[in-house]
Formats: sequence, structure tokens, C-alpha cells
Amino acid sequence: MELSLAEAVPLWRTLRDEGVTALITPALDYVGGLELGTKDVRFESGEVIAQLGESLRNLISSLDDRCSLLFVYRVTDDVEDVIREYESVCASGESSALRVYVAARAEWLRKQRLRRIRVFLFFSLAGVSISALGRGALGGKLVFGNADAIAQERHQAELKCLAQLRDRIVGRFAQIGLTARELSPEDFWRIHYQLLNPTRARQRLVAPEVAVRDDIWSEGAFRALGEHVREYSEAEQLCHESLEDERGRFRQGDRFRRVMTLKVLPGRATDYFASEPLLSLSLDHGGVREPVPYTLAVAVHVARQGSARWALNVKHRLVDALRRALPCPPERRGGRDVGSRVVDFMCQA
Amino acid sequence: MAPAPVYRHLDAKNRLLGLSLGQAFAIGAVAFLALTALSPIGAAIVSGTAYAVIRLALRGRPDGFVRHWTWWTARRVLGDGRLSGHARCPTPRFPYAPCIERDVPPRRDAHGTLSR
Repeated sequence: MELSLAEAVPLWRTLRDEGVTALITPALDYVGGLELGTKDVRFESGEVIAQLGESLRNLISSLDDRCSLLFVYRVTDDVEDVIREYESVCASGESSALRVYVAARAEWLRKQRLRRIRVFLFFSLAGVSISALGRGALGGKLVFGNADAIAQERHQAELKCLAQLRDRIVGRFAQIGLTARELSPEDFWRIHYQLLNPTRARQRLVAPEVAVRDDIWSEGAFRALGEHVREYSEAEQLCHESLEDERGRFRQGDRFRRVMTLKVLPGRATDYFASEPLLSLSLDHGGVREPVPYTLAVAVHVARQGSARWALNVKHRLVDALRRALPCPPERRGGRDVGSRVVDFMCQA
Repeated sequence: MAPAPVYRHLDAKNRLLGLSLGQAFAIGAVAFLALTALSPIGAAIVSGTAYAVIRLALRGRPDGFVRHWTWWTARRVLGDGRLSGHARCPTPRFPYAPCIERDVPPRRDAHGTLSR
């Protein structure tokens, strides 16, 4: 038995309608995408950094319940397309001296080890998603929602809500001073293709133009003849390289993959942009720092505030009651009363 | 520069005798079942054993280890840990996305007069 990679990719269809680009997942989440401009805070003053950090916090806190954000920070060492764009822009120069200068500069740039940073933001509302469980687990088979149960009006309403969320996020980023460009369906396909096919991406192969065709065979024919007569889905058209699931890592060809999830914030104080060292990872070869391509993904999910607070309070009360019920020697209390520690804990929460 | 205020995460660990709340419930369930079937001493031994097994098995493991290990084992058993880019998957049609439709003319009954 062979497991299909396309079955584990949360991508059903990508479309542009009602002036918004939407990726629809098998769980019927409508997801939009933005490419964000970058800002280097290393040379900013402390006040500017604090202001920027608070602005980002306000952006998160202004989101609706059950809204999800996924920041994808991609670092690549492939800048060939940028150099080609530079050459094409300057190729129309009439001055021969300029053309020679541009050619020499492009040749010099190609010899350098450069890093290119792109930041993407994917966002979605709760929508008509089947359930949190229906979104599946990493590497597990995804369950497709019943799209026929969604009326055309509901589909249009979902697109409208997604467009409103996009405009709100773009506006907030503009206030912070960050540019945001909406991704097109082709951008979605390109990002998926590069992430799912690292060897082909390294060979600079162009992502396919995805076109989904209607099946001409019935379900009975698929069962009788086999799945190979079925037309390719969108995810299948983007999956070309197999993934080996090894202990502690994934392997795609000669590339190893690991996933890092930042789940729990430190219990005490955290500096603004404390994760900045993660954004400038590099390899040290004899004192020379060389860029290393990597992808860092940070997911933010806004829980339903009412139920989350209720669950948290119940959990704390239960832990408090169990702690009181259990005998605990004074030396293990750290010299403080358990009740006061619990009160402190609740105040922090 | 003043550090940013930190609000404790909703999923922050609340440890009870080194167990998370879910693990403590599991121990409680084991203890309850053991009490119904065994003597108090036997139930205490079973509960203590369950506690020791959980503490030792999950020592140094990250959150969600059991869930991810289960998925990983299922993938090893079902597909030898290989997620194939060429294997096919049944994907239903999404009704509101563009789809290239191809009309196929109805099959004409030729009574065996057409060449194959």
C-alpha cells in the first residue's frame, strides 16, 4: 500500500473570485495570502522597536475569534531571478558603457553567496470549517468536507469575509510601515511547488500551470479500472517528489526537513523581536559566514475567547483543588504558601 | 529597553506530580478501574506502576509525542514511511472553482459494424 503525498497537503482548490484570491483547504477553510515587505529592526532605537512590537501585538489582538495567521519566513540562496530581472531592466539602456557595467555587475553578483528573504502571511477566518479535528494531523490523510452542502451564497459570503480580513490586515501593516501584496493563484502554486519539490526548485524548473479537468469516468469506473484513470487534482499536479518519513525528520531526495513549532512563551519577560537570531541563521566555514536556505513558520491561532477563558479557569481551579488535596511538605513549597503561588499564577494568566 | 509584557500561554503546563492534567486523568482512570477489580493494595500497585510507566516513557519527550508517534507508526506500517508524490488520491470536485469540462458524445450503438 502506498500513501499519497497529495492526500496530506491541505490544498483543495485555489481560485480568484470577488476580487480576492482564496485557497480552499479540504476542511473548507478559506485562506488568503500576502507577501509582506521586510524591516530590519537591528538598527532601530529602543523606542521604535517597542512601538513596532506593540503594533504587531495590537494587530493580533484585533483579530476575530478563531482567526488563524501563518507567517512563513523563507530564506533562499538562489537570487538568479533577481539578477536576471536587474539585467532585463537595464538591458534597454542606450549607453554601451552602462550595458557593460550591468553585465560586469551581474557576473560579480552571481559569484557571491547571497541570501534572499521573503515573508508570506496566510490568514483565514473560522468559516465553515468542518471542525478542528477535521483539519487532520501532520502527515495524515485529510478528510474532504462536503462542498455540495455549501450554497453559492455561502461561498460568496466566505469570499467577502476573506476580502474584508485581507483589507484589514493590509491596512494595519500599512500603519506599521510594512508593505503587503496579495498573492495570486500562480503565487500559491509556485510556493507549494517550491516547498513540495525542493530538487526541482533547485533546478529552477518553473511551477506548472495548474488546470483541473472534470472526470469523464464515473466512480464505478474508477473502482473497476483503478485510480490512474482519474484526472489530476490541484495538489497532485504540484506534488512530484516523494517524502520519506524517517525517525525525527523528513527526507526529500537529498534534502532533510524538520519542523519547529514555537508553542509556549517563556514564563517571564521577553524582549521584543527576541527571535531575531533565528532570522539570520548561517553556516560558519573557516570564519566566513555562508547563508543557509531554510523556512521558518510561525502559526498564530486566536482561540474563542469565551470558551478559552472558561477552560483555563476550570483548569486552574482543578489544579488548585488537587494541590490543596495532596499533602505537600513545606520545604517543597519554596517557602511560600501554595495558595499564594496559585493566586500569583492566576494573576499572571 | 523594557522587556515586553508576557501573558502566560493558555496551554502552559500545569504540572501535578510531574504529570500534565491529561496524564493525571489517565492515572485516575486506571486507579478507578483497578479499584473496581482489585483490592486496595493491588489498585495502589497498579496505579503506581502506571504512574512510573508514564513518567519513564515520556521522560524528555516533547508535547504531543504520543499523538505524533502514533501517526508515524501508522505511516511506517501502511506505507513504509513513504509519502509518494505519484500515488493517486480521490479528490472530490469543488463546485465553485473553475474546471475544464469536456463533452463526450454519447456512444452510438454500431451493432458491430465499426472497426475497432
